[in-house]
Amino acid sequence: MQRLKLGDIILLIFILIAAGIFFVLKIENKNNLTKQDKKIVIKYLDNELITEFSKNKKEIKVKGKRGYSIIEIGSNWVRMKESACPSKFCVKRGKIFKSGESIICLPNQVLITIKEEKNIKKRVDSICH
Amino acid sequence: MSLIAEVKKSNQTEKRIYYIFLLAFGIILNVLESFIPKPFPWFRIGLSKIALLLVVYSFNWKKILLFPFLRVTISFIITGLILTPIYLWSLIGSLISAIVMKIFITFFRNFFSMYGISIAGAMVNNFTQWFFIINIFNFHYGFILPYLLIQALVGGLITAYFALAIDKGYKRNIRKKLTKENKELK
Repeated sequence: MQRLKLGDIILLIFILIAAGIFFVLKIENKNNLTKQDKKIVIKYLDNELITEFSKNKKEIKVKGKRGYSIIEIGSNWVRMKESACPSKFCVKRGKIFKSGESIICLPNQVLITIKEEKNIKKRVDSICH
Repeated sequence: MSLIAEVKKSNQTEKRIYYIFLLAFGIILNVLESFIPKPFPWFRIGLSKIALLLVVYSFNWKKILLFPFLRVTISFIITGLILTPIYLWSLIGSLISAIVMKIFITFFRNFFSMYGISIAGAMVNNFTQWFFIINIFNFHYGFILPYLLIQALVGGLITAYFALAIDKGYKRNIRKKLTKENKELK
């Protein structure tokens, strides 16, 4: 086995220190998607309403074709709490988190989607190796 | 005589034979390594770097730059991952690590042994791939960097150990064999 030279040992120590520093710092992506970049778009009848996520739960009451439907908004999720439609599919859909997901209520004509702002690059959903 | 000194001394035809031998060696190592199960996709030793190390030590710039292209393309055709993003960043990491290792050898030869050069190459390879993944593909893998650096350290030491062992243990003389075969043919 060849002996380690001075440069090797310096390089070893340098890498260990760099790894330690990066371990403490925890680098995040610059164009990381934060909660403020996502917006909720609610369409009912012919109107459109754009809101943001809120840390405290808030409720929005919207009038559709058949009656009122109540939308609940959390820190990173949206759900339909109550609806005036007969089948209640929109309530059974549950919470939605990711951008591009949507809750649609056809009888009451209410549509909720989560959208990202356009200047942010599109993110890949998932990869497999 | 060691393998590197042997390659440097040999003529054009023999150099080609050694180059193709190292290329095949690298491809086989890469394919065999892909059989080993790994907990994370990036968590591997990088055994094919043994061949790259030997090539960087014994050939000129042109052949060194050609080596990653051939090695990565052929081994990815065999494993069936060609034209995926993995292929792209593997190629770029391999190329840049080859360039950095050659620069280290030409300028700091007395300062670093093979271990240091191997570790530097592995580190540059990992860092390039990490940078590429974060800034171009926009994945959320920023936190992975310290683990990648430690993996480069361990992998670099292992590959350098094996490369030195192969370099030392090489005893067959291709020139003698070639002349012998030529005589037999005549």
